[in-house]
Amino acid sequence: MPKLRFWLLLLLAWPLTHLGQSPLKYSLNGYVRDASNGETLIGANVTVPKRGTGTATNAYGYFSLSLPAGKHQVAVQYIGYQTDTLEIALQKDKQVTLRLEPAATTLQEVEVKGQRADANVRSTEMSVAQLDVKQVKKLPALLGEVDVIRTLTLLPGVSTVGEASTGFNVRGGNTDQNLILLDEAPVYNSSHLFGFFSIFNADAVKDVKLYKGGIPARYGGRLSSVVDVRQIDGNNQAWEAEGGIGLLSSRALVQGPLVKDKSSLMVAGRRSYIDLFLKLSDDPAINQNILYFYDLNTKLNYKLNDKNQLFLSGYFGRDVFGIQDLFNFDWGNLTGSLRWNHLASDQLFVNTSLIFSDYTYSLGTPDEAAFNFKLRSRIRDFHFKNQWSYYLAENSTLHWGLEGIYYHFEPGKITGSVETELQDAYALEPAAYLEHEWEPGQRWKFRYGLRYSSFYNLGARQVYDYANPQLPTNENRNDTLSYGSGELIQGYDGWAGLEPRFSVTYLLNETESFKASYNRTRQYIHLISNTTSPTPVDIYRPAGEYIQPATVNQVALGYFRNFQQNTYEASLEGYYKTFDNIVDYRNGANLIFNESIETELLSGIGRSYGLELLFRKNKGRLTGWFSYTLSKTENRVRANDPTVAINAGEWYPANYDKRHDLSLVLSYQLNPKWSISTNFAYQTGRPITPPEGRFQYGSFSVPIYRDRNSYRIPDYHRLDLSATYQPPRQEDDGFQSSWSFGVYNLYARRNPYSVFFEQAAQGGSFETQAVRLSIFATIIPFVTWNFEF
Amino acid sequence: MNRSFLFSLLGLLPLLSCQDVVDLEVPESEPQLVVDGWVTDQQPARVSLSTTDAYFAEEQTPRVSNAQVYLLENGDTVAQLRENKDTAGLYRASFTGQPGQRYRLLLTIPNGPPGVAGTWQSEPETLRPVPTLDSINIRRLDRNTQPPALEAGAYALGYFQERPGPGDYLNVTRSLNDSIFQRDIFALEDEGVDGFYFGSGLVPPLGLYGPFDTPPRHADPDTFRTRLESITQSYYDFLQVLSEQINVGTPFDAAPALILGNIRSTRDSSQYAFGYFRASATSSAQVIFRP
Repeated sequence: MPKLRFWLLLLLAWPLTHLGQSPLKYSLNGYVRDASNGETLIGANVTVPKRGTGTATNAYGYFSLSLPAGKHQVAVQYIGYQTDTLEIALQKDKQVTLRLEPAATTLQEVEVKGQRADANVRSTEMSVAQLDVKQVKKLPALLGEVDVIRTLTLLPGVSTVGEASTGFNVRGGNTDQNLILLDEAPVYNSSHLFGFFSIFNADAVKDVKLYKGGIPARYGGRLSSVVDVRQIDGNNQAWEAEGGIGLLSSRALVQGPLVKDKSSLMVAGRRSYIDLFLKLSDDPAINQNILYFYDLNTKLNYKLNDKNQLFLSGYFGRDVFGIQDLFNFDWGNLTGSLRWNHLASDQLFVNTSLIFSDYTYSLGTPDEAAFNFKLRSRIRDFHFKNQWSYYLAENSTLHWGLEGIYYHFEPGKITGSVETELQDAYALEPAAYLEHEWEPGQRWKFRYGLRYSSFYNLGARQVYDYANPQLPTNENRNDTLSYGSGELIQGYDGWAGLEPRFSVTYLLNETESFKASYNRTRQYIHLISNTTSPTPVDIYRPAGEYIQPATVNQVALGYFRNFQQNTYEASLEGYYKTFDNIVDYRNGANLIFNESIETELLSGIGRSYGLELLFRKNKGRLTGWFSYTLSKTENRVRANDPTVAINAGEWYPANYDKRHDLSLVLSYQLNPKWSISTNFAYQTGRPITPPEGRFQYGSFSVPIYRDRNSYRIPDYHRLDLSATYQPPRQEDDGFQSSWSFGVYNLYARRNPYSVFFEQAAQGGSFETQAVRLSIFATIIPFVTWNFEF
Repeated sequence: MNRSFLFSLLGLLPLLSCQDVVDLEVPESEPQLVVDGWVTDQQPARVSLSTTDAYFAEEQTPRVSNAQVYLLENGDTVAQLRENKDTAGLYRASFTGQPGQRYRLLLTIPNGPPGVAGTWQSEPETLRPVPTLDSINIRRLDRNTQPPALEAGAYALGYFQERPGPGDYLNVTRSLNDSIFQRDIFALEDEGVDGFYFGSGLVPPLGLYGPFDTPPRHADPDTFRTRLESITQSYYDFLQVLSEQINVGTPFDAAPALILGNIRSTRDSSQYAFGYFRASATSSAQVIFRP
């Protein structure tokens, strides 16, 4: 295994890397924190206006600026906080902690991102959205459950196949093409309750950043997007608690210093009580069932000294479902990450992470049943990351890093009265990257980099050999090949593993810029699911002998403009994206507990292109945004066998192709106590496959589905309304509470999730009918009481 | 796992969701041949020929008459099926099959649209042996019995020895008072239960029907019948797809797909007809329910 040895050597040699520093300038570096609780601020801007230079804090709140000796006026900005300007005399390298006071009266009720007000124009980032969770909490929410993922779908380029669908789609990408990170740990299933809600407890989340394009080289492993969710570190100044009681769930969060200014702890939990809704049903098949979820978020950080800080984060969530005491089903994620932030020098920031992620599901009968069984499935990964940021000069920052992921796939194991299992699979995914941010003048900004990834599918495992490996079937299976533990079954490396990333910004003036980006991304694991919305029992499979890694190439162009001192901002982006080796499925594929899963899969290509418009008002009593996406996403699956090719090998619309997608989000601060918010969403109906006829077989009227996704369900639109009442904080005990009221689907539109076709009556009739399924067919009110002290 | 089963049990849905019938215009394709053929070791071979029709067309699809239909055993023609004078499109012969033999259907339709006229043949189907259905018993079951039942009541349970050796597949046909459960697809494979006796030791009997409705006083007792039919893996797969595709549309259903059987044009193997020709051995039993 020479290639594996190469990676091992590189891993060992990496810490020896050392770069010198420029002696002509000094470094001003440190952290930007919230003065009230010590929380680091991600993406805060630290600028030196007279020199026209500046930088933004990284995901750990760290910044570093190279400046000549002398006095400098340094401005620190972050939306929702009072801008601070201070004079710093720099005679040598200096480390500072800059503390920003929260704005006394926050009238910016809805913000899509933090950072400085004109960051959207000036930064090299495009196709990026950042959510401020505090503000998201005031938007109308289904059953009052604040949901950052659902809010993301109100932004251009992000959609779902329908309400209550697991996951989301970004610029024509499937749900498994989103790299969802919770404190750097990948999350394999981001939904509770089959897709009704996301697993992210908004109380425990500090920052959510979505990359739809121009993805930095430090991210890899998924094709279409990165959702980087950061948990709050915990108040390192004083203990505090907050929580809420809603119709669906209750939640609580406690945070405080273990050692003031040095160490803090955050623990948050949620538990739903949907079981009570089940009991409202008259149907004993429903009212004796169990269905609930819970999750626990925790984070501990410890500042060893000015140069070293440790973070330990964890998440554990579970959905539990039972039919009386006859059948149990549960699923959930467990993640953990240990991170070490180290300042190797004032200009060299290093993060080293050890990460663990585990997704499991289990279903079966109780153990005490005479004929019992339990089916378990699991995917685990063990992740090592070593990331360096070197602040070379005022206008130049270099990032590089190395990472490796070891996967253990356990697709299925049945125990109990009958015992059987599918073979486990193992894989290693090493990667390295180098990226440079460079501002050669006042107008140009570049970020360019290269990521190199590879993938090794390893034994022990037995692999079927097929006469036609391009189109394996059970009928043309030849032989079985055995591989020993750790033995290489299939490796993917070489030139194909290069993933160039490039972004450029050209500032026309202080308020206008053009941006362009290109990124190539590779994905080596695939969610095997042929349902419209993924389910908890869908499993990931690694690239191997018959499943190829998928690749995306994406270019994007954008025009960004702000008006009236950044009160309004607008952006228009166009993108074109191609997909290679995406997984599709044979008609009628059997994906459950199938050892020869390759016989059910097909490989295809895809393309997506579109225009995205975002117009936002950031300041004043009325805030909000309008977003519109015009896009088209198609797939194509060719095969020599015409009965296998989908739609005769022609392009067909993807399940989540929606031509028009429009959202309007408004929030108005009536007075210091009351605010109101509203959402309106409109989307073209998603594609479905219509029957082009029927035939009789026995007593069945069988639909003939020929052209996949050649028809569309009626368009979707919905209006939500909410109000938040927040009385002044009580001076004596610091207790504060607020109420959120609202309605989801105000005009009770029966938006079709789907239209399906069925044989109408029982008996001998062959009549057929079209049936519209609406998930939320009525007004859904909500009320939530929130508190903190 | 039936994914729509998961969906229907998601408790919020009965409170928030709804289904209603809507009018839609859907595309219409040209007629194609449909074959429903069956040779068994017990009953005369029969084949029903029809064509496809518009999806929302009412009642019966058009029948295909005047076809020449032949049954081949191991490559040799063993019977010509004749059209029934009273039922257009139904062809029968007195021939019964033998376990272990391979059967094939060959038919010629002289006139009709391009997707109907021509000569067609099936893939060969092996008539596999079937386990003997030893008995059907009626037992009262509830949540605390073994096997348990969600709803307490009288259930019909089948007892039989699954044939040792992997690769056995069964189709189960049930009827109550001669009324066949027509809309059910009940097919089994022997993976995990190969060679087991259903109804002995840890393996429970096969649940066939229940709970029985309590009949009015003095009413005739119910007669419940079950027939086990041996089928090939290919037909089992066909039934699985058929079952999956008859109702699709919830978030957890697979994408709609074309259901192809084992009938192809002799001139162009990429040209297919709908339906299936199958071969089965059968075993039956019945029980009378007296509450």
